[in-house]
Amino acid sequence: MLLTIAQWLQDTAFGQWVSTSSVAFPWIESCHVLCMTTVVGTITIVDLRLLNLTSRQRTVAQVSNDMLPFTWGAFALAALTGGMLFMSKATEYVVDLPFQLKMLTMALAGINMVIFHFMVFKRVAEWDGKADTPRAAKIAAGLSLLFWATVIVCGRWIGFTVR
Amino acid sequence: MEHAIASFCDWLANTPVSMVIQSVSWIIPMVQSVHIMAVTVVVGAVLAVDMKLLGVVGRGSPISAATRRFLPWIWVALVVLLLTGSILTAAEPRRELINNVFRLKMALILVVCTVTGAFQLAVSRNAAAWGDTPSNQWQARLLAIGTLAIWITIIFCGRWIAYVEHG
Repeated sequence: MLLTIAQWLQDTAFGQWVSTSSVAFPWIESCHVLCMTTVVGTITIVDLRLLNLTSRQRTVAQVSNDMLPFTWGAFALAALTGGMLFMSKATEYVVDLPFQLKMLTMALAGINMVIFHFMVFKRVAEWDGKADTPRAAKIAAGLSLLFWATVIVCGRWIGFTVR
Repeated sequence: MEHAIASFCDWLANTPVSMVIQSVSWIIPMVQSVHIMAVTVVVGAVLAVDMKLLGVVGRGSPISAATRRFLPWIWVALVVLLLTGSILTAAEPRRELINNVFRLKMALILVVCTVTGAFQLAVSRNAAAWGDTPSNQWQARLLAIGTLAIWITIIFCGRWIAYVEHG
């Protein structure tokens, strides 16, 4: 099933173009790196604030309102460019261990974010501006940093297993 | 000059350190991963400062607070980038040192570091001119758009080093 879809994606004119053109892959990959570093860079700023380590003169709500629009915009573009890169060798990526781990880790980062949002961030007004952030917020921020660092390692690792 | 660089590359590639990095398969991917993590720190910090200069983020807080908060991270990340970048260069010297994209990347890093250092100094000497809105808005906009453009080009160069022909 997954392999059939992968084969179809790879056989599309677009998939063929990304895989055979000498410039398509590097250009799309460069955009992917730019977007991905924006995602992780802005998330790091929010996570460090949640850990109560930095930006303490501004509230958690202020820091996340400033940064998260960039995170989401860049994430959409990273997913788009990532999808384009995927199409070049879809059948090889789906069975590639680092690729699978990367997708799994991103899913974990997503679940962590959803849990944090509904359990802790929803009541941000109650705890924001206090001397310390809640323990649950710190755990979510620490996990987020760990997951995104793993995503980067897996992403780079893919470049050595799928060529 | 090119000849001297080529000889240096060949000497470096045959040093024990370089040979260890080349032969242990996980070193290059791990060092590249740390390199990219340091890039994310630079991107986050540059975006936060430049968007404040453009008036997009940080309403009610002075530019001088944003530079004190974020610019030191750029310098720390740059030390990590220099260190990890040097390890990668030691592993494959010709791939980097005899490569026009790598040379462009290094030149742009020198330019953006000079501009950022001068900006940081200017803010620390006259924080009053860099309040919630800058005293000279066009200067601030030029600085923000210019440094963003240079950093984006640096990131693109970083990826393209792997794809262009080298000596």
